[in-house]
Amino acid sequence: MKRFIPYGMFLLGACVLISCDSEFNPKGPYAERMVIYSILMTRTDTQYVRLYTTYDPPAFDPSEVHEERTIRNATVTIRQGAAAVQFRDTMVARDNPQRYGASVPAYIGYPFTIVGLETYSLTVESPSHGSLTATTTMPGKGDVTVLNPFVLRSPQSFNENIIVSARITPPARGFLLRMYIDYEVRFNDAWSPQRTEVPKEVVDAGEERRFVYPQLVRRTTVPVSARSLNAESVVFTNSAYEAVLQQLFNDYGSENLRFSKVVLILTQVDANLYTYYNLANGFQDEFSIRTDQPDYSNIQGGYGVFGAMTEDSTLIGLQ
Amino acid sequence: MRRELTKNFRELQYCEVCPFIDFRERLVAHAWHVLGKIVTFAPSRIERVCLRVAAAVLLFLITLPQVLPAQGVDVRGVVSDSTSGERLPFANVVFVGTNRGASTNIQGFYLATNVPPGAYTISASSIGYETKRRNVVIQAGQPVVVNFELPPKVVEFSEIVVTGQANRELTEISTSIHLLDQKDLKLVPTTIQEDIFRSIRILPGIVSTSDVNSQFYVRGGAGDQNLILLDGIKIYNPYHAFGIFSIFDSDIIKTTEVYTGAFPPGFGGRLSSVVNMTSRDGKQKEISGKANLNFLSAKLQLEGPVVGDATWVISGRKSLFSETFRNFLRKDVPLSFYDLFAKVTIQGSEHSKYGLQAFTSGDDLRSDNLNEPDYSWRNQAVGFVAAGLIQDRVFINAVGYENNFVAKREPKSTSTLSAASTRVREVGVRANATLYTDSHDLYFFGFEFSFPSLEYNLINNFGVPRRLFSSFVETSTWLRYQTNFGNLQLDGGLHIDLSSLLDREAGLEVFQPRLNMSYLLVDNWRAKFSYGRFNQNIITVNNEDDVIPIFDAWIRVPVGLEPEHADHYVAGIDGNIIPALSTSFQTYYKYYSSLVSYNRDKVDALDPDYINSTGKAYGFETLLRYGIPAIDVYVAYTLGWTTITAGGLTYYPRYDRRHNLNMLAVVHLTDAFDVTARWEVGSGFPFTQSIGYYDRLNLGNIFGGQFVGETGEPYSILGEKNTARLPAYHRMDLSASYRFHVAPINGSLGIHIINVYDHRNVFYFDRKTGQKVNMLPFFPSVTLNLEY
Repeated sequence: MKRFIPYGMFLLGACVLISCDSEFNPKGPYAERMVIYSILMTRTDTQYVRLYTTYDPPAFDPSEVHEERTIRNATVTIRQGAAAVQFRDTMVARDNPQRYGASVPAYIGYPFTIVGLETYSLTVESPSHGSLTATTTMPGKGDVTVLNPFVLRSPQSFNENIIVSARITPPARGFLLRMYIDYEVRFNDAWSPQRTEVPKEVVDAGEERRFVYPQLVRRTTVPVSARSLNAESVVFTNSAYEAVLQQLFNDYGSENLRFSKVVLILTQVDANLYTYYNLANGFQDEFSIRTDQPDYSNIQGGYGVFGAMTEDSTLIGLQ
Repeated sequence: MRRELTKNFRELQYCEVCPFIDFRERLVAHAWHVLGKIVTFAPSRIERVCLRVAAAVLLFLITLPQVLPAQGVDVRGVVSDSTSGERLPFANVVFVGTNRGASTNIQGFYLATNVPPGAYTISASSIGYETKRRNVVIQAGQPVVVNFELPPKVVEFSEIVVTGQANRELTEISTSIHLLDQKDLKLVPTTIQEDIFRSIRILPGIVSTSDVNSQFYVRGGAGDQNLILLDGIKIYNPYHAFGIFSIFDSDIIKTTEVYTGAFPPGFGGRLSSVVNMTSRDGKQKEISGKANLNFLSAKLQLEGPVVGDATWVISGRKSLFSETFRNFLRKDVPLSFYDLFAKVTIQGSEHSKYGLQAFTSGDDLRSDNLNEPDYSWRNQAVGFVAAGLIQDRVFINAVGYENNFVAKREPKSTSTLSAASTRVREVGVRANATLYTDSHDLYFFGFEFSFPSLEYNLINNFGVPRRLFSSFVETSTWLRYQTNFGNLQLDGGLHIDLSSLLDREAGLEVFQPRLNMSYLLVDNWRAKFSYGRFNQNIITVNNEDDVIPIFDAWIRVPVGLEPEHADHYVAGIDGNIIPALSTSFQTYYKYYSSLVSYNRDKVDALDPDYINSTGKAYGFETLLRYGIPAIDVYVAYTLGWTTITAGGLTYYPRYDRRHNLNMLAVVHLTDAFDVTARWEVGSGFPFTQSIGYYDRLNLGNIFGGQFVGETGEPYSILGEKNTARLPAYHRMDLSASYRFHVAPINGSLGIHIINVYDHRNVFYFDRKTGQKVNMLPFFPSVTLNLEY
């Protein structure tokens, strides 16, 4: 009998633990925090701040929450040096009303013209959620030039790509350079203005062609001083430009088409917007071998982003 | 330079100053001088260091013959199984009535040096075998060969297996070694079938994160820090699909040495542990076969003699997963695997042996569902092993090998995964020599020279094909010395990594010291201490928070990062409280001065994927083994902490387990009937809690000037990394085995029950639904083994 004692103890211990089927909750203690989105833009004198909070769904599925937890009684201020603009409560139309309804509560600053190369700080003070701040520095005025504009007017006559030089300012971490063709189409003897974006290149994808449009890219140059401009170049292939023209001819016929100009738009974005945009859009890192997707926010103690972007454009006539 | 060398050689030939000095001694003296000159002439510091190391090894080899015997006679031989002819490692050979003795090495060879002439009774014993004695008269002159053939004990009923094993480990100087043979593997209740990696999980200091994964973590080390060797061949991915089983059929493994820390100088390139397996040679006396059938796989093994002293063994397994689940459970499990091992061994002269072996395994996970990715894994290895005695006292064990591992992932229509493939290919030579001396001290020395090439191809998140390829040379040599000073045993040496001298990118430390000390306190109680310095410059790529690392790709440590370094300190005390109860208490501290971890702060393409981090692991282990004729009990408990500090954050890795208890009891009810129970209890593994959601805007139309009207997608907010714990794990397995003999067949019928009380151990949970996925439920199975 004695020899079975260890075995008996073994079983006894096991039986005791059968009842220890401990509770387990993968959710930790929830603490509501503010979520702030604001992108300052030079293209408009109206600036917006979106303000809402995190949420904790009753079960686990976040799509079960159908009411946006906005903060309506906050004081939202953006300062630049000694100047301060206080934002007002407003409502804007929601792009997709399926989950939360048709309108979005937001804060608006108008008239509020943004000045390049200046640093802006955002302060949000809420009686219920405390105070948060964030800062951003606007990129300055850039410029954009086509080095071989003759190709734009007669692409079939030249066997060379369209080379565009963009000069960007030090606060810009990334830039996007887009090319548009402005043209007029005749409908019922009336000429109507239209715009089409030009892809950077055309890729053969089996039987179909695929247009590759410019993406936000990181600057390749290092600024030498706080106000220096650095040149970045972007190439649009001749074949891509021709393909767009050909498509327009096919769509409308040459007798109903009148080309007016090429518009080049240079968008410079600050480091906050550049980093956030890349992470929120699939971690656009061509070098990485990692499969996880990190998050980023420059809102200390909260979530979201306070960023800045500037736009500059150049027109090249096609007549 | 050439003139200098010529001059020294002339001096060597015509040395008249000391004509009484033997030519060999003069050779040594002059060799030092010449090598000193060479080193001086070497153009760079690295080359000088390289030459110094080469000079030291060369001189060591030159001076070896000087320690050859002078007066007594060497007694040597092999100890083998009388029925199969398989040689028995770790057998004890004792000169009865004297304090002389020796142990057999991994090839079953022993050598007792400088035995005075006279009449002796020599006994040989091994666990599970009858002891044999032979009377030998030793006369001065040539070495005496005394071989032993030990008959297996008919019934293991009275064998105190576990304490026998303990005694064997007690005599080791190392603190962290566990020796397992086939009997030990069979002790552990099987999860459907015996598996070597599942068996070693009962050892103290080893944890696994799930029931359905054989991946193991040793004393706070990551899964890629374990060196897995089969007959000296490195195996990079030793798991069948999902890690459910290892790729090694336990019946082909003769012995397994598991070093859970501070391993000896002969091993390098990994930070945490070594699992060194030696395969069987096959039976010498008869052809026999073994078949095993269970719910999940079928196995057939054949072995026997060829002509002369040659033997062969061939063993193959094929999974029956799909068939079983489809026919009995009406579930589609599109998983299949196979493995095949073949080996031919030729016993050359008396103490030499040559073996040629090949190994292949494959796994496929192919689903008809287009939204589930397909995976495949393939392993192939071939090796030529040679072992034997040269120069009377130098025993050499060498292997030349090539291995190849390939894994592929086909995402099909899966949106969250991309295509990926990985390959490891390696050609290498590894040789280890043991020098026996008059004073019974032992010298070990050897080298390893290999050419691994690592390849990893994937389409990354940006949709860009990435290819990481590295091909390099791994070169190391080692020196080890074992001696006694009264009650103190010392085992020290150096693992000398020459890779950094040949390749500046390797970044490994050249000299990696290793030290083991054992002090006999009283009776059979020993205090032990070990220290070792370890380097590693290849790692696996996976998301360190993955529940199961399904797709592991090996890469070299990225350029610009330090290779991984660790120091192990282990102290302990081992001994028998009573003859039937052996104990071991050890405490360990591992400091990782360099690890390679995810860069958690990466937010930009220019930020590195990986950064160097540091870590530490410390804890306490105890092992109790109790054996009386009717019962064997094994209890292993580990209390451990592991932390990693990366990017300013210190966290517990997901394999950090505070308490881990393994209890194993084998009750021998009759001669032919055993009941085994295993109970494992572990505190919960770390995990990161979800602490809410926010609607993250992707700013998709920001360049059109719009973002305010966007709704955003719910984005899970995680709490501080790994600060919460999963519930405690516990599971009891029962196994009953009945052995029978129906001439000419020996068989056994086993009934196994996994998770007897059906405890729902959490495997993982779905953050989105909160649904818990549990590990193995109550699961009975039956196995049938037949052997003729």
